[in-house]
Amino acid sequence: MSDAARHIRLRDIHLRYGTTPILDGVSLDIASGEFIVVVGASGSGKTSLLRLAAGFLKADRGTVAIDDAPITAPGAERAVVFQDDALFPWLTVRDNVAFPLKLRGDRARKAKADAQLQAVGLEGFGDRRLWELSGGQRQRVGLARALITQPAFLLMDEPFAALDALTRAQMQVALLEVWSRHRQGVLFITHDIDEALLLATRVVVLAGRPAKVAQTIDTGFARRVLEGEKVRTVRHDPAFQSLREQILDSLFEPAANTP
Amino acid sequence: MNSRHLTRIVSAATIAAVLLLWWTVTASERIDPLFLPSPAAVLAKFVEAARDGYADATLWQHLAASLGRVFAALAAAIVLGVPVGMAIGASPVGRGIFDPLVEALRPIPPLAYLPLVVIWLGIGETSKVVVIGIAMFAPIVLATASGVAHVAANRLDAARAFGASGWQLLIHIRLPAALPDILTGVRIALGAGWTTLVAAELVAATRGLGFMIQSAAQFLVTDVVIMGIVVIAAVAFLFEAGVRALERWLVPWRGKF
Repeated sequence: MSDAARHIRLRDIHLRYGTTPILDGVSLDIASGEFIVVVGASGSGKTSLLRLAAGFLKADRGTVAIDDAPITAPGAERAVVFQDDALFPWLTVRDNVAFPLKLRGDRARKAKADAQLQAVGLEGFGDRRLWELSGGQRQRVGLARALITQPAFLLMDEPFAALDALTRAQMQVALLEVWSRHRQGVLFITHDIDEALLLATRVVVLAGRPAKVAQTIDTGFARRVLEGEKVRTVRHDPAFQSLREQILDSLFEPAANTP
Repeated sequence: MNSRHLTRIVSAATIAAVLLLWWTVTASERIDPLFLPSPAAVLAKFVEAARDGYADATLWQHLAASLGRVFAALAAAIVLGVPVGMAIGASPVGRGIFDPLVEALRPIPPLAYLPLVVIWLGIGETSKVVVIGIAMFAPIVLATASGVAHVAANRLDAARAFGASGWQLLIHIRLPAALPDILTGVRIALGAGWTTLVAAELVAATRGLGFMIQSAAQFLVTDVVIMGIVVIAAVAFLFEAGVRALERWLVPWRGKF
């Protein structure tokens, strides 16, 4: 893999479930180093977008490609983190993290898993079982498992939605720290506007039924958090508040969707 | 007092009440011991059969013969049933091949195919194990198939996202995820196995709890019949407890996820 920037490109995607149109001409680019957050109401098709990029779904029309090669199946360069962690309870924490390497027959996988656990703040948790962990710790395990193959892209489907507010805030900062070290391309799905503004380099707002891209906003709040500014201060910034209002408007005003 | 303790106390009291009723009825001497011997007589028979034997073998030899058959049948049913169940649960082709066969076999009572098995395999030990094994096969197949088919979709997606092949999904995800169901299948299979044991030992057996009961029944030795039944019940109960312990050890995540 070269160090050159890599891209996932979704172009003019149309998708239906049965007879219900879900996505109507959605285009989206994710490059290395970008943190793209897609916000939208429940059922807006944002998870479908992620499943298309992951290769779990095929579009009815439009193209999904990574570095100009069409995406037809899941691939190791695109790691997925799921909302309900999707971990394997029959394995220890260490073996869960090492699982992607086990599939490849990597003999150094246990040591690599321990290193990755340390990177997400779970040093010494390798021998624990999943039910001994909190929800936030389980999401860290899911993140470590996704990172262990050093993927070029992280696809995260509402990973913190099931967590309590305090844990979610901690996980958001932890994720930013992990991302700042490796600068993967991230596609992050959420319905939480504050979360979107806080994490993203670019926020993409999906609205309407079927969904279209209602707005694209480049933001820099994540950088300020990484530079040590308090999350609370960033959130109270008038610029943050006004973008928040702007996104809310485009989510709920049908006029914003008409071409 | 928690509900588990309460259940145990009530269970113990129920068994004590049944024993008391049994003792009262027999002590009143209104029932001929030929039909219902007293608990003391049955206990005496137990001691006698354990020490001196009944029908040319001690109780332990009868028990060992039966346990050997049930265990051999269980091993065969697991070795054959789990792969067949995995094929049904994970592959449309496998389902097409095996599902009708298993569904056709499942409702047939063991006594119906016993003569056929004897014609094919003779009156030796093999036919007994096969008859018990057939009875145990379907529950294990069906439980495995259900477990393998109903793995959480996001776990399969996660494994696929990391590049798991079809076989890797089967071995690393579907099989371990189905383990709780497979153990439930084993519990049901053991029940079916004990039920079939007596029928299997109808033909040309010289040892076994089922043989002992039938042999005693022919001579109207009712206390041995009841003693044999109680021993089978006790052994089956211990097996159930054993499988539950195995469950706690093998699938400690059961009920937690």
